[in-house]
Amino acid sequence: MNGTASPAALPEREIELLDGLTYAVSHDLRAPIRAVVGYAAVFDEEYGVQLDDEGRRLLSIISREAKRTMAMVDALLEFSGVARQALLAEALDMTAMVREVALELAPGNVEVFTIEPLPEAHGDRALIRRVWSALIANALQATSGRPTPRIRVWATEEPGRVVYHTLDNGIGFDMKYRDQLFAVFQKLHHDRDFPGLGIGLAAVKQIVGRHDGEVWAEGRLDAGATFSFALPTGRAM
Amino acid sequence: MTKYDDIDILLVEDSDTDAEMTIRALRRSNFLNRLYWVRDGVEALDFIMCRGEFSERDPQQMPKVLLLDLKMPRLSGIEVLRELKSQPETRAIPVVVMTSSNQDRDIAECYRLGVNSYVTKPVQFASFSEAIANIGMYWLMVNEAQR
Repeated sequence: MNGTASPAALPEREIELLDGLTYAVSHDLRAPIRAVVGYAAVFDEEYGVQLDDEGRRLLSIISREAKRTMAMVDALLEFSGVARQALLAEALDMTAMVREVALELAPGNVEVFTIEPLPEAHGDRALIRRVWSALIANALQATSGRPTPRIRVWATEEPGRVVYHTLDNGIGFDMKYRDQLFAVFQKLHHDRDFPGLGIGLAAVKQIVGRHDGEVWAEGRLDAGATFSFALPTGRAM
Repeated sequence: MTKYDDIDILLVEDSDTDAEMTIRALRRSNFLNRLYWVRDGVEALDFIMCRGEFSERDPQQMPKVLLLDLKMPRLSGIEVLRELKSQPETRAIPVVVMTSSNQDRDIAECYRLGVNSYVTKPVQFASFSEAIANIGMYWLMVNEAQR
């Protein structure tokens, strides 16, 4: 951790314990949620026609919320997966990767992006791609209500590290809540403005941390945001 | 011939709700064929090896496919798989493992032990078809339709 205030690091063995707990809980929680989703579907299939509109509305809420719980549990599982899996570090063409991700997430909208040439990085391809996916999805979401959305991606080189930045002209955030940005299931905006589980940026923090890097954000409410992550250069991981 | 003979699918699942959902999914997709449901690894091995409750079963008649849950009381799916794949008489029975999530840590171990395919719960038509295709048993899909 470079200078930022952070709680005392947990011993390795406690991290392992926590990770094991996350895994067990999320794994075992899937079974009852699966039953709720499944039986609600069967109920709808077999008795749906006998219900009035209000009955169907209530049933659809049960079903929707159970599916949301399942999605959260799945996200937790995947999250605990990042902590466990071994990093496969290789040289990464970051410019190509960002273009790919932008094209994938906004196929009809690539004119929104300005992607400057980015220095190569050294890291796990699948994981770093998830970092870009989360940051770009976040920027797209934040700018979705804007008349002319703009997203700019560039990098700056510092001694021993490269810092990659994503700037958008979206809804931004209040700096006093910035510590919450990267917490699991924590969101700074309401569901109706900013759908999603609130796990993307938490995963970004975890992945960048596993690469011995750092991530932070700057923004102003209603005036855009910049997300930056730094990855160390010039040494084997 | 006992009611345990001439079984196409042996479902090994401890959860009543998961079993009901799986049986429903298979029935809806005309996959049901002749299915027998046992509730843990001990019962599964007793069935296959014709022991205990299943001692009258004809040992020549093996299920065409085993649909195996991993996490069960007494004897887990992994142990069942290990046992079946280590015996020459039972090694050839195709085993499809049912996992709670594709992040399951046990999937790699299952492949090491020789599992034929896996599906993620809830078991759905598409994933089950794929698993059945993986083990080359297309006819399991059309059995019902031919009757």
